[in-house]
Amino acid sequence: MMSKDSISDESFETSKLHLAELVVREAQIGLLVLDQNELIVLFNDWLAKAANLDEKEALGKELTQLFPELKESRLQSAVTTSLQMGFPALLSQSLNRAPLPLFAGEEERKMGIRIEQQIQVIPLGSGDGPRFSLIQISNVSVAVKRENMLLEQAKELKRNLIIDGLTGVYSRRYWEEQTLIELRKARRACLPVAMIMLDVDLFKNYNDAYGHQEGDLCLALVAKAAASALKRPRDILARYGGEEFVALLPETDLEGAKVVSKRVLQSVETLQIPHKQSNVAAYVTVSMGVSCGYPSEGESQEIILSEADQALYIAKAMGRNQVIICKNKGFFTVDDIPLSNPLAERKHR
Amino acid sequence: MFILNELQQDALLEIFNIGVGKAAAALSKMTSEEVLLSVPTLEFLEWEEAKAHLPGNGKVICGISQRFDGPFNTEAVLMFPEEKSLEIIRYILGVDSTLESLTEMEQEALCEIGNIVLNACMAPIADIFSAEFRATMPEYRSGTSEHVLSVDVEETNRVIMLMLVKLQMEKHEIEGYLAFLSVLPDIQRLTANVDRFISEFTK
Amino acid sequence: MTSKTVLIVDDSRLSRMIIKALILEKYPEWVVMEATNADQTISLIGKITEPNLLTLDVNMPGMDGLSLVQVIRETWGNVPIVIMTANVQESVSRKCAEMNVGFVEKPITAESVAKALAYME
Repeated sequence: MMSKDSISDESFETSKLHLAELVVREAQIGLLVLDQNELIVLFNDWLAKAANLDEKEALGKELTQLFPELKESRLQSAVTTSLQMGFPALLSQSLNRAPLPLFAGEEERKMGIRIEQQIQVIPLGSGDGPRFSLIQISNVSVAVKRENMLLEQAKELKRNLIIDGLTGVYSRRYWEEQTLIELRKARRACLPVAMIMLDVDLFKNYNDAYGHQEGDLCLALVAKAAASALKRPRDILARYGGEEFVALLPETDLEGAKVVSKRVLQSVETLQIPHKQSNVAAYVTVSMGVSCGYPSEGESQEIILSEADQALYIAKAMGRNQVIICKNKGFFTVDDIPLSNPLAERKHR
Repeated sequence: MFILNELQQDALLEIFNIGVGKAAAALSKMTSEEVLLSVPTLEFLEWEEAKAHLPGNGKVICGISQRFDGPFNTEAVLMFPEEKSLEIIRYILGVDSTLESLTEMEQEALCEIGNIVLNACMAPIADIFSAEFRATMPEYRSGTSEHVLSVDVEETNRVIMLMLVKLQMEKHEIEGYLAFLSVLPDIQRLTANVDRFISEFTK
Repeated sequence: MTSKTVLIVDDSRLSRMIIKALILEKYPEWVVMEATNADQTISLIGKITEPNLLTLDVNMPGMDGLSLVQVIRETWGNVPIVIMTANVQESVSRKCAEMNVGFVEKPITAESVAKALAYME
């Protein structure tokens, strides 16, 4: 410890200077000072080691002589501003990554993995005296790593909310959110939307015959096949619950909805998953109800969905493995054959 | 109340306008979007009174502030509503994050954006006054605008000068503010400099 | 040399004063008129003969300078117009180019005024 009482004023000043020099040399951050002519007048040990340069190589040079990649860089212009205007600058890691070729060790240098840097450019001296620019470089690699982990975790958390864990298609919650947005868009732009309700035929029988594990696998396969039949990025297929799925097709009219639902039917059929307890076919099939139209003001998600649900009910009543369409409150087969008053035969679910 | 004459007020606004224009250009370059500028307002008020004039309606805002000391001293602040600063920074950084508050790194990036905008703003003002400002490092603050803008006003009845410009970015529906706050006697030094500026043109 | 007329539209009195002074310093015989906003300018359109040049500020209370350009064009066709503004965003200078009007950055100096006057040719 140094005490002012123990030594004369002059030697105290001298030792203070010496101490300052030691601190600059040994500090575990990068310190670099440029003079008014933008020539390097200080280059500390931490920086010399990270840059793999000798202090002597650096002194008296311009920043861009030492690091040519800094030509016309934000760091270079920040230095000029600090010397000319006296304004400090902060260069965040997020916006600049690693402006200087600094490496933690030989291994990292070979692999080209730079130290993540936060840089502060601080003008020194003021008024009429000489002006200097101090560049202070902190290693923020640890903070960056920690933050990336945090972001990954948050993403994973969000993913779990968006994606149905069993089948890999979207979750019902996400589907509902997106549907609200799409219906609003459709109403504003007067565009049609189609909704499909899909049910795996006689799935209870399948579970009984093959067991729950096989049942889960079957659901995942069907979901994947159905999802692959939706081609546009805004089309969304979600698991609604149990063996029921819903799809939302924005900007899709009746013809489009027919094409897509037929494609879904085929793509599930192509899987040819054996189903010995089905009286529909020897393999797993699906039934679909489609509701299609221009959502009017006040026509909620629930109303459109219940139309699709009624159409699905009719599809099942008519022998399954088929698509029934609801349009303007009437029900039709995919070949446009109207169904006479099917609601009268409908039993309450 | 401390009031400038019409010409002084006019000159001061024009000088700030030039800074604000440069600031908007810097912000527009970073967000690749035009920044619509309101006509700036300039008021002399007591701090207690000024609080009522601050934007934000008591909602949480994020501000980046720097103090500039020179021909006059001022606290310069760039501020956005909290949820919009999330949007703006994540747009600039190109990250798709769902966290509801700014991470440490994002705060730092926002500080840098504020730093670029505020430096761009004050540089031409220094040029016009042919003088220098000493500036502090940008500082991130979040809270109500009263908290973010809070100056060192020991006595609340001291007069402050408050200049506000609204910045609007339509694509992102972002509304932010640039604010400059000075207290007496810095205001008097400012007006002395403004008078010198005016006399150069009206001699 | 024939006398010319310039109309300055700017909400700042000081700006108008400086532009006017700088023009008259060089061309004492010219006529320099002033308007403080778009409304005043529009009411002038019917009353005065077409000037040789208009300088417009962008950020003004009420209608901004860029919108005002279109209104002026309806009556005065291809009258030379220069936007003189502190709003130096790329989008503003691009709009000026699209509307075929000049763009000069503030602050107002002898150089910037000379640049504005050059748009008359």
